[in-house]
Amino acid sequence: MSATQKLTLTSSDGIDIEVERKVVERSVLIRNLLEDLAETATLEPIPIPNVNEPVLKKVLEWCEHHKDDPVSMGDDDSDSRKKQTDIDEWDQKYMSVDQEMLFEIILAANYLDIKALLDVGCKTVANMIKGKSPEEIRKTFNIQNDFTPEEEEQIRRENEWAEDR
Amino acid sequence: MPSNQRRLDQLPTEIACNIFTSLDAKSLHSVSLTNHRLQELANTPYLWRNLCRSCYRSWNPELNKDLPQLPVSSTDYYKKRYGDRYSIDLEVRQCLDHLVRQQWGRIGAIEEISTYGFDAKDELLRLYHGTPLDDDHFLAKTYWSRVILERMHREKAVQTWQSIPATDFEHIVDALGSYDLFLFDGDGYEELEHIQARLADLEKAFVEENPSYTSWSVRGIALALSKFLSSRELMGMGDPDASYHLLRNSFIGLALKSPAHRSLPLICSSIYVILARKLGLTAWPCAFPTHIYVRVDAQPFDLDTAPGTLDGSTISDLINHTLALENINSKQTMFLDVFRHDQEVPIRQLHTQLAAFGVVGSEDARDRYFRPMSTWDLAIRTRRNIERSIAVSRTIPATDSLPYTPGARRPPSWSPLMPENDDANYAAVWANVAIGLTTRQEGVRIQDLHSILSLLCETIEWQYPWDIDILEKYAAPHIFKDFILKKTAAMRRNDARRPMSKLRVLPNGDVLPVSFNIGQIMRHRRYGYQGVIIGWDACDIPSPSGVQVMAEDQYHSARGVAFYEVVADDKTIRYIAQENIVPVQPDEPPSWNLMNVAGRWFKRYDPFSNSFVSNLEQEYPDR
Repeated sequence: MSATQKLTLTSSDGIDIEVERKVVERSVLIRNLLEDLAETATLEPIPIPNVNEPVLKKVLEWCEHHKDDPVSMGDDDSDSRKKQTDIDEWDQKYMSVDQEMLFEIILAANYLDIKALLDVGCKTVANMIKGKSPEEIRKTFNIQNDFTPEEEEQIRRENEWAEDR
Repeated sequence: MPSNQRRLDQLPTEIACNIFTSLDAKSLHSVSLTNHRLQELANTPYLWRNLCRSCYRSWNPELNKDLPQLPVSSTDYYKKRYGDRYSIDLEVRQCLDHLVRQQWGRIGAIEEISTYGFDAKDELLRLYHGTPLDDDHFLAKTYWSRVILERMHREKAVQTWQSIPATDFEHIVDALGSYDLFLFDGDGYEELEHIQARLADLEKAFVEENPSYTSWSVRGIALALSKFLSSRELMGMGDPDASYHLLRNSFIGLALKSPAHRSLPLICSSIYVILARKLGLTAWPCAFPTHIYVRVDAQPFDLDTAPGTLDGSTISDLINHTLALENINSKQTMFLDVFRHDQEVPIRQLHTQLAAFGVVGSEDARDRYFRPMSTWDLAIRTRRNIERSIAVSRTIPATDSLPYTPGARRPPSWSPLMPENDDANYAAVWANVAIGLTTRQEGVRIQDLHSILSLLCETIEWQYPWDIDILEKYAAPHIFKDFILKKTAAMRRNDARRPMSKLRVLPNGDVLPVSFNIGQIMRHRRYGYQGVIIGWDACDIPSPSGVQVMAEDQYHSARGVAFYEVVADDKTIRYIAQENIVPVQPDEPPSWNLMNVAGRWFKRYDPFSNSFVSNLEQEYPDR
């Protein structure tokens, strides 16, 4: 089985996408699946029921760019992940999409188990939150405020330390 | 994929948490204020525990233990703790601001920060290391933050000493490591736990190299450990003649930390003994005249049966052990001279040596020297070693009088492995009191105790006035309470008093003949040492204001003659007549020693005028 072998993925909306095995193996979900499948079975299209075509294509674009990255050794602990807050230039550009797509990518990366992509997506969202007031965060993410003024006041009172800006 | 998940407040919990791990505390708190769902996600205890850990390394010991162990389910514990620490940081900054800007009430401000204990440490370290060189108050801020950090460690040391029982053989690290707490290691971070951790690492390394050691005989393990430690250069000190008396050799923390690991026989024997005990051996340091040996005993595996032998019993046999003092023989007791080599020392040789020292006669007389040293024996002997090193070092010229290079934070030759005499001396003085109080029942005379306590009071008064509440807390409850409290009350009054302003032009129009300013760097005309002016006086009688004075110039000072208070580059404060003050040349910078103490009186050093910028404006408004 060579790494350049072509595989076919079928998106949730029924579109077939042909892709290099090495690229698609960035997904731990698919890598494990391929390991379990018999050689011949990999010729069949692999259904990806949770991801539609535009999102799947976008995700594969990332996988293509990162296909030669060293494979991460499973789950490193959250502390070391947190320390690398920088996102490299290509990824930053890749992530400049509308919010809906951004969350779609994150959800797909989570489903397909592509940890590095999931982390980049999460960091992108975190950067959109950093330094903002609650009101600004609501505005950015179109969040409905369901607190009563009293509830809000109480949270603020319990966390006075955070109030000096 | 359900479309309603494509919103921040609808994401699955694990993804939301992944996003929030990258947030700082304030942003995370802001998220919790947006709506109910996000509040729940943003208050996940695990996120706040991570923030607590990543923002703060030091915690008060009792809470430090709680931090990793607390069940994650106690929802807002970590958020509250984070908030506490954040608020403490703010208080620390305010207190430091007070210390930096106001000349009086400093003891109170320092005590206020000290009530937070180690919870204040991270912010103090940030202030100490993070104040930029071009800060207007660079010297003052770094000086006062260091003062509080050092005080914090000293209190821990005194507290630790006090907790060691009079007859104790176990707490060697506490007793010896507390001396290390009196040294400022540059990083300002190391605590007793770091010494423990280094020892635990050594134990681990030994076990890794000798996986089957539990099936060996006691003698086998004892010798293997000796070889192991020698191979890591933890025993002995290379060329003893050159450096035997260096102060650093008496500090167990420095010995473990430094790459060369040099230490006195007492320290390396202690390291050996601590590790031997971790491995299950019964080992003790033994105080011989002029040397320390390690004694390893074979242990009986049951109290009811005869003692085992060094070659017979294995660790897994051992259930109980007793200490057999009598009938020392080579089957049950062995000796090592870990400082000199990794071999066993024959008991015969030790007997010969004792005879050479004039110890002859009964077994009893000799047994005294084969007796295990208690923890306090080790502490007392270390105190003596430190005092001896200081006495020797006074005969060696100081190296810290190197000239300051603008823009540097430390002298090029600075090393955390070169403890300062003052710090070490202070450790010895405190140890003396702690030892005296703890082992009092063993024949320390009350007069002796009074004199060592007086010495401590004096040292505190002149050099460490911000330590008076350590004295009140840890010494006063035990002895001479009235004596101590009277002293400290006077020091507090002195500290709380706003100094009178001294003006050069008197109300009647007379102008005092004071030619030099506060902050002027000078040399003494006759003795040549460098110093900086921290006060002046033109009154009839020189009146020192709460600082130690060495009256070198015997003048019948009449009005019209100016006198100066000067801190010299040996850190002492002296009183000098104007005619003996010679301003330094503009290209002669202050010494590093002066830089290190100047923060007590000055905001910063100004390289353009080659002088210190006064922080004594309340007392000397026109410098």
